[in-house]
Amino acid sequence: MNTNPITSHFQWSLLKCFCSCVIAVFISGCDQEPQDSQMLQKNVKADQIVWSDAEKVLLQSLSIRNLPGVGLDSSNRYQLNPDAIKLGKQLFFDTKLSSTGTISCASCHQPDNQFIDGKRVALAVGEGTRNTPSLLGASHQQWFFWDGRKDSAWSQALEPLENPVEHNLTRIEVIKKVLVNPEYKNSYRQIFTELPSQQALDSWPSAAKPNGDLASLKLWKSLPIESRKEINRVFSNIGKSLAAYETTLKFPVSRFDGYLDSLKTTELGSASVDTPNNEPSKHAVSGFTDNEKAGLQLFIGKAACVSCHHSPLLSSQHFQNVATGIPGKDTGRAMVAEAQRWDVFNCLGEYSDAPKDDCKDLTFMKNNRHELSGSFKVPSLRNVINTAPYMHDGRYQSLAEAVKHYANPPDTKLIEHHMPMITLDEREQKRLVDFLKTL
Amino acid sequence: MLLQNKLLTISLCIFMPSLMTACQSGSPESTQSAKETSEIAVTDKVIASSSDSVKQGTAQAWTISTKSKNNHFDGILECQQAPSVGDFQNCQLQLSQSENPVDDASLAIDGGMKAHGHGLPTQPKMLAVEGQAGVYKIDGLKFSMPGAWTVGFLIKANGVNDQLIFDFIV
Ligand code: HEC
Ligand code: HEC
Repeated sequence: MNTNPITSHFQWSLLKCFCSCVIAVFISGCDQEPQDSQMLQKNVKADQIVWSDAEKVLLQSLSIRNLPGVGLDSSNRYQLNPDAIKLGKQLFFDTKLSSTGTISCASCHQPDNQFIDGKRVALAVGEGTRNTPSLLGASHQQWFFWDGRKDSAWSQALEPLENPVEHNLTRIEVIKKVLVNPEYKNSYRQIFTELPSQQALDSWPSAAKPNGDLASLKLWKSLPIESRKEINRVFSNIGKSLAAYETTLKFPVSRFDGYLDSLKTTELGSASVDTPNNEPSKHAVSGFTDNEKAGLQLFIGKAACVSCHHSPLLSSQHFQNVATGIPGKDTGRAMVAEAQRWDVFNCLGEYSDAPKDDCKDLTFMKNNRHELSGSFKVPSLRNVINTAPYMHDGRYQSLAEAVKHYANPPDTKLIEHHMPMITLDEREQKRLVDFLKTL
Repeated sequence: MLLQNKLLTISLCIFMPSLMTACQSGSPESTQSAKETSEIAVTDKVIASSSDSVKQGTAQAWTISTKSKNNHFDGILECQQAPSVGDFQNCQLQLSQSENPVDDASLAIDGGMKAHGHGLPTQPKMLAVEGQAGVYKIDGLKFSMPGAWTVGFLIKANGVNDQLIFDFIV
């Protein structure tokens, strides 16, 4: 999608050469290990960190400069429609869209607080079980929620509206509350061209929904199929407006990106080596302290964070088990993957605007419960210093605790997980934290 | 919708720790089979006219071949480009038995990273390619991180069952 200028022919061949060396080491067996650790040891003194050419390419692949302005979603043809963005913004902040009249999306995703609530787990009409993620960069996500149970931003937006502990409405109530407002009604007509008739609106029973208790389900089933489809259509359009607004929520360019820019500039000069001599002063915006650099080196090296937290999002957008699941309580992806295929609001469903071919991630999605048990979506680490608490259940208040989580992983014979089996001493943990703060 | 980063593909190679873990968590079989039974070849298939070649990069086919566990079949895994992180891979399997293409095989694909103890991030499907004897398209294959991957096939054909295992670095 985004072609990168630095993937030049030159670098390709250079890397290939580098790779073969590494592969050679790998293939020739494990007795070479001391040599590898020596190589890593050698670089531990931070003020002497010299990035190799291959490392430089890897580093640039993490830069925000490689992130398109918006993550395009062909399942939402209104994603970039200015009127949809405007309507979505109004709805996002409207507390009328809740059973209590006090909750809007912004109650939990607070614009003056990085679009989080800062709480361990969310609290609205009731208490939730998961931590509120930031919405900065939301359009770039492949999967939504900590378990990825939604495959588009518009489909995601529908869930909180009907969630009994969040907005606590039915989709029919949402539609009625939106279309009763003359300004919204006008915008809606302008964007989506069709409006349900007043007669239809009046005839839809407010308490009906397909995912509530038996009574509401019965009511829902009592509606003719065409009405149910029309309701779902209007509901999904409301979701598409909210998703359109979310395309305007962007990650800030970080100090880390500034550092990457400065690496590139240095490279344009004759010196391709990044030494303290030709580096801007320690506290300049783009400069990096020794500790931050050492942390970055751990991040892409020994600590192997980059294996999951990669690309400009610092997230693979896949599901991994880092031993945070709680059997019987929250096993993450395993609980939702099977049902996702049957979600009427998914990429392949009739309310999606995407050609079938654009839904490959859904088509080929893994849904083996056993294998996915304990896996959660790898979250972006951009802006992470400002989005405490951490993990799907907000268990860690600080980055120091989150990093400590990886410092001494349990034996995989005791607990299944995908974390690299390395140990990080306190100094290394501190360096990683210092680095994470620059993201 | 999806973030793709070709750069990572290659840069992963600097990923010593994961290779080291591969060693520690004891997968000597995989290293061995990589050494002994799989051959990796990178063939320059199409190179655009000189002025274009740098801009467009070279379209390189990537192949790796191996014999099945019980020596019933030969397999060639061929991808339009070297395996990369993030994108769907454009790959196919060529299956033969004593140099004859094997049609009508029933194939199941599986794989993962031994070092990290996880499987493939997706559930790919196999599809016989019409008009090409013994060729099966692999649809929906993805790699979620750089490092040492295994992709294997359970084969049921010509009355025998066997397994093809490919080990390679993404
Ligand atoms: C009660 C607090 C609360 C309200 C109100 C709320 N959210 Fe959320 N939001 C959360 C929590 C908690 C999660 C994560 C839930 C999970 O993973 O199961 C979340 C997840 C999300 C995500 C997924 C982000 C990601 O990275 O996966 C998006 C997008 C989002 N909300 C948008 C909205 C919109 C739009 C609304 C209004 C219609 C809304 N939220 C209302 C708490 C809230
Ligand atoms: C095997 C893949 C994997 C590796 C390797 C990995 N992470 Fe994570 N990381 C995850 C997953 C999955 C989560 C979410 C877990 C959850 O929500 O319970 C996560 C969550 C986090 C969070 C919390 C983010 C938030 O917003 O709540 C931080 C911070 C973090 N990782 C940092 C690191 C660091 C530092 C390293 C290297 C030492 C690392 N990760 C290595 C997969 C990984």
